[in-house]
Amino acid sequence: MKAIFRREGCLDECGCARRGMLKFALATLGVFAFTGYLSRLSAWTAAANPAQDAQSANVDVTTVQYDSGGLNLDAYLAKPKGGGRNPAVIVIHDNQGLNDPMRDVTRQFAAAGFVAMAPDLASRLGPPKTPGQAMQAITQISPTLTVQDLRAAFAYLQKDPDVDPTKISTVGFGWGGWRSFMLATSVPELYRAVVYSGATPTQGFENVHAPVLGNYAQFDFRVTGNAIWTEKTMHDAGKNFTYYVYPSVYHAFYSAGPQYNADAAKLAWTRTLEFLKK
Amino acid sequence: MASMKRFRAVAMIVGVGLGMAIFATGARTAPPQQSGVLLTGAVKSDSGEKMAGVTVSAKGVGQTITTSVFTDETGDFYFPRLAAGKYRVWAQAEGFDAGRAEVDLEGASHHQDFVLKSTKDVDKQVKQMTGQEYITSLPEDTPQHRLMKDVFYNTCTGCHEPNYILQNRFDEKGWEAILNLMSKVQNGGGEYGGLDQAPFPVMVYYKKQLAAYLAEMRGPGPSLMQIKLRPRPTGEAARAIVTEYSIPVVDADPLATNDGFPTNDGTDWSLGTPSALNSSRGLHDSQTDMNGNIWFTTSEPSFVRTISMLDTKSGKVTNIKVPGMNGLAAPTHGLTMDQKGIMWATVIGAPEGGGGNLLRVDPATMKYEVFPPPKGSTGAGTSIDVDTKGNVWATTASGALRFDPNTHEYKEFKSPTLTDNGPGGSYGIAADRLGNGWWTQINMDRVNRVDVETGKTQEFKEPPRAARADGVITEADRKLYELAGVELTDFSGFWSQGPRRMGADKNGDVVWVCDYWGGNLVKYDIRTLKTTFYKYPTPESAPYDASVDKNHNVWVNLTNGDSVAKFDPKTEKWIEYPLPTRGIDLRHISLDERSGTLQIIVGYTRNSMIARMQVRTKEELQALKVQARDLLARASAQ
Repeated sequence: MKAIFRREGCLDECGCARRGMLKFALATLGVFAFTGYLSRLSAWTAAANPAQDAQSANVDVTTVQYDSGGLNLDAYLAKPKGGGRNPAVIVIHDNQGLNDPMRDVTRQFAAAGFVAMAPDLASRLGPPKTPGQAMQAITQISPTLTVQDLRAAFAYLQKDPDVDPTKISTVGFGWGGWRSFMLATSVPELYRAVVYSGATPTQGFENVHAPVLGNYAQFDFRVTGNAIWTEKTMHDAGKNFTYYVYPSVYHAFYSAGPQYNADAAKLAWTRTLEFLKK
Repeated sequence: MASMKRFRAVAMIVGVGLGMAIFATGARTAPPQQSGVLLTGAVKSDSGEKMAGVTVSAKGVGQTITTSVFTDETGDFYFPRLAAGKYRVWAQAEGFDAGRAEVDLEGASHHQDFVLKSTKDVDKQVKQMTGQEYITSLPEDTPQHRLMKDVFYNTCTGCHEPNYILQNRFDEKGWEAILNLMSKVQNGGGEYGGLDQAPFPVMVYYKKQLAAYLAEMRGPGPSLMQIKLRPRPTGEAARAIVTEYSIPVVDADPLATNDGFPTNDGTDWSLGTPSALNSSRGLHDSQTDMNGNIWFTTSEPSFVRTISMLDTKSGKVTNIKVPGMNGLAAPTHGLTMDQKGIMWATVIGAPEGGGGNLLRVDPATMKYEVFPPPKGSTGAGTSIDVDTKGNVWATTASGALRFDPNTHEYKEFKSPTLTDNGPGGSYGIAADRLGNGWWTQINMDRVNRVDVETGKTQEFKEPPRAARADGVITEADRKLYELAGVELTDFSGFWSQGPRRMGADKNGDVVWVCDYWGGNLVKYDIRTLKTTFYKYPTPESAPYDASVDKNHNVWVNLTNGDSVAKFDPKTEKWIEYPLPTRGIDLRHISLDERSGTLQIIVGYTRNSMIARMQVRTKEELQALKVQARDLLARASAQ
C-alpha cells in the first residue's frame, strides 16, 4: 500500500519561499522595480496589492471575462505598458488554482514583453471564493473541457489588438502542463508550448506544429520518467521537443511553496523566455 | 542521522456504543462441530496411477468453512473428523480436471475415491497455475524475451499476481489497450487516474514491445510459454490441514455476489484467478486473539469495516467501524497483538479520515481507541509490531514510530536516507528482542535499524539483484529507469530487491526480511549486524512477509506461489506448503502457538477468505490411518 498525495506548491508559505521567487525574478527581469516588494517581505502579503506591483513592473493588469462555448470564464490579464503588438502567453495554473503565485508569474511575463493571460479554469463552476473551492473545482471539471476553455482563451487573444496573433504560446504548470501540451496537439496556430512538471498526452502528436519545451523535476518520477518516451515519440513524428531535468528538486519547484527551488526556477524561467522569444 | 522526538498522544475514545459501531455478519448457519465422521479416500489418475499431493477439499453445504488436506505418497487422503452432514468434496491437481462429489457424511466414516482425468488443453492447464508458475514458464531464450520478462515482472506484478494478467489471452492491440488503461491507474488506490495523469513511465515506454511480447505468450495463436508446473506437495507439506473461512463481502452489490460471497473465490482452479471486483478485495492482515478468534484489517474502502473479528467456531464475522471520510469506515492495514491480548492496527489513507492513527481494540470489551500521530509526523502506515516490553512500533512515510501504551508517548525515528532518490517511505517493521526497531524502505532497497537507547539509526543497503536482462539492457533503458526513479512502491527496477515486510525472532538474535523482487529471505543478526541472504528456490514466488516460531523457524508467505514456506535456519532448508486456493494475494502472515500446536494464519486479500494451516505429525496421521482401517474393517465385517 502506498498512497501518493501530491500538492503543487503551497499557498500560504511564508516569506522565505517568497524571497527566493524574488531573487530569481530580480536576476532574470531587470525591468522590475521591486521597491514595493522589498518593503513588504515580512509575509506573503505582497500579492495582496497586485496593482501596485504591476505599476512597479511597468505592466497593466486587469481581470477579464471571455466566452467559452457560451460560458463566461474569468482570466487575469497582464500587458506591458506602452502598447504595440506583442507576443502572448497563456499561463495555465496548476492544481492550486489561479492563485497569487500564478498571477505573479503572469505579471512577470508581461514585464518580459508578453501579453499574458491566465484563465481561471476553476471559474467554469463559478468564481471560486477560496483556494479550497478552486482546488475542489479543479478535481470536478473534465480535462477535455479545460482544454476547450484554453482554446477559447487562445481565440480571445487572437482578437486582442495588442497581440501578435502569430506568436501566441502556452506555459502550463503541473496540472496545467498537460493542458499546455494538449493545446499543442489541437491548435495548429500555437507558436510555442512550455510544460512545467506536466504529463504528456498519449496521442495526437501528428497534429503538433509548435515546438514544445519540457521543464521537469528530478524527484517527480511519474512525470519526469515520461520525458524519454515523449522525446522519442515527438521526434519519430518529426516534431520539435526539448526537455530539461532539474536535479534534486521536486514537482512544484517552480512556484512559491515548500518545494520551491530558486536556482532551478531561475534556470527554467530563463530557458522558457529564450524558448518563447525565438 | 536519526531525529528523536517525544510526543504525547491524545487518545480519543471513540468506540463506546457497540450497537452503533459494531455490525455482525457472517455464516448463514452454524458450521459443523469438530467431531464425527472420518472422511477418507484415494485419488488416481485416469491412467490408473496413484496421485500424491492432490488437494482435496470439503465444504459443508450452506457453510462458510472449507477444510482441505493433501493425498499422501500412496494417493490416500485423510480428513480430520468432520461433523455429519452434506458436503461438497473436490480433488484438484494441476494438469487434471477436478474430481467432484457430493457426499452425505453419516456414521463413523465415509470413503470417497476420485479418478482425475488429465487434460492436454493448454488453456485449461494455464488457468490452474499460480503466478510463480506463469513467470517460471515465460521463456528466456532470446535477449528480447529476457528483457520483456524482466519488464513485465518488474512492472506488472507488484499490486497483483501475474496470473491475474496472464490467465487472459488478447491480441497485440488488446494487450496494448490493457497497458493503456493500467498505465493510468493510480498507485495504491487502483482508480483510473484520468486523461491528464502522467502514465507509468516504464509501461508507456515499453508498451509496444510489451504488447507484442504478451501476444506471443498469451495471444490468439500458439503460446511460446514453456509450461513448468510446481511439484505437488509431499512429506511434511502433504500433511497440512488448511481451514479456510469465507468472509462475506459486505460492501458488494448483493445481486452480483454468490449469496454474499465472491462469485469466484479461487477455490475452483478451473475458473482461474478471481477478478477481485465487487468489493471482494481488501482483507489485509490477520491475527488470532487469546480466544482463538481471528481479527483482520480492511485496506480498501468500506462503509462497514475498519477492523473485524472472525469467530472461528461459528464463522460469524463482527465488524467494528471507526468513522473515516464521507461516511466510510477508516481503512486499516497493519495488525498485531500485544502480550495482554490487545489488538493494534494502523489506520491508513487521508489524515482527515484518520490515516496515520494507531488503533487499539480490546477483544474482551470490543471497544476501541484511536491515538493520533504526533504533530508533524505522517503517522502510522503499512506495518506494525510489538516489542518485548509491549511498545507498539509502526512504519511511517519517513521512518518509524514507537508508541508506549502506558504513557501514550510517541518516539519518532527517521530513515537515514530519504531524499537521495525519492521519498523512501517505510514498508515493513519489526522490533527485535532487545527492543530496537527495524524497518524496510522497499523502494530504496534499504533496511534500517534504530538503537532506542541512543536514538542512532543505521541503514543497510542491499546489493542489487542480477537482472535476467543483464547484457541486454541499453543506456536508454538505464536512463529511463533513472528518470522514472524508484518512488512507486509497486514498480521495480531491473536490479531492485524490494525489501517488503519483516519479522523478528523474539526468542533469538535475528530479524528476517523478505525481498519481494529479489526472492530472498535475508537474515540480520541483531548483535553482530551481519547479513546473510537466502535465495528462495523459485525467487519469482515473491516472498512478502515473515513470522518466526518458537523453534526459530521462519514462516514466509509467497504471494506469487499462493503458498507459505518454512525456512529452517539450522539446516537452511525450505519446505513449501501450497494453499488450496488460487490467486489469493497473500500480504501478511502470523502465527499462533498458544494451543501448543503451531497454526499459521494468512488472509486472502483478493478472495475475502482467511486460512488457518497446521501440519499434522507423522504419528497423528498414522493414528488417523489406523482408525480409518479399523472402521473400514469393522464395516466390512458387518
